[in-house]
Amino acid sequence: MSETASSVVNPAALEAELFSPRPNGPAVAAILAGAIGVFILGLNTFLAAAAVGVSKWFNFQNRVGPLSGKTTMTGVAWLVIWGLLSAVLWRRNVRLEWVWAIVIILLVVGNLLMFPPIFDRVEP
Amino acid sequence: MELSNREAWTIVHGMTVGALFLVAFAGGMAELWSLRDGLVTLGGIKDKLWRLYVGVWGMAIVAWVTVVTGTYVVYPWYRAAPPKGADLANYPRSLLLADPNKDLWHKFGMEWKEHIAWAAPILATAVAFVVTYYGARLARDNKMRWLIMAMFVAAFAAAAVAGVFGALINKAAPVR
Repeated sequence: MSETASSVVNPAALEAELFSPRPNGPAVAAILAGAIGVFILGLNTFLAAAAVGVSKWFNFQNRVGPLSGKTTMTGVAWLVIWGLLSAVLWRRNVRLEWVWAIVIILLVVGNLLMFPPIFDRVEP
Repeated sequence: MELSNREAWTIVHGMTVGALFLVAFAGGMAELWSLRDGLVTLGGIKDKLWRLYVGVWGMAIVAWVTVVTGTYVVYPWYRAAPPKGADLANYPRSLLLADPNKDLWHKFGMEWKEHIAWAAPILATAVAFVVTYYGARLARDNKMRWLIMAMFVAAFAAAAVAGVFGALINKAAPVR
């Protein structure tokens, strides 16, 4: 009998456990940092194509070539920006319409910058 | 019938984790799509969340494994410079660039693939974090749910471009 009673879930308690309000700031920080990460990946790709010096600087590992630096620096920048945005937005609620707009712009521009027919145009 | 070390790594990078990626995406997307208040009971949502966590974190982890093995294990074999007089069949990048009918596989396909692939784990990790942070609340926040579904699809699209070009390039000039 006691086992049956303990296994019955109290709907109000479950509702509170699952749906207690939370600010959307930390989620927005993760989303914006992800989109900024893609933009930085595109920017690194574009800059490495445009300038031989940048491409050489990105050559962190000879076996992998400049891709090693482009991706490593993207990862570092992404994590740092995620941390900073999280600190700023931790307890805030952000309007998602703005987030949608910023994410779309960053993803489109980032992808264009890493599209070969575009970065090939600036190769020396 | 046997595989060389390089062919085995190519299979791990492209087919094994690639298949896991597809399964994780399909599972995660189905759970995200149906995580709506009114479609599932409170108890159902709680059960559903575990499958959702497995799907989104599974996709993120598999995407990281794919890009790291691709960039640091398989790619150096692909781009290695051949010594003078070497058989180009063992140097895929040089083999493609030496043939005007095939050089676009490198100049367009590989150049695009090697970069866009890295967008997949970054976006998938962001989605996994948001799903974990929000949990069941996503069922009542359609704007946030649609936003992360869009990012989840973008992560999949980036991986799909990389995967398709990887398979086609490996057919034109295999890593052996």
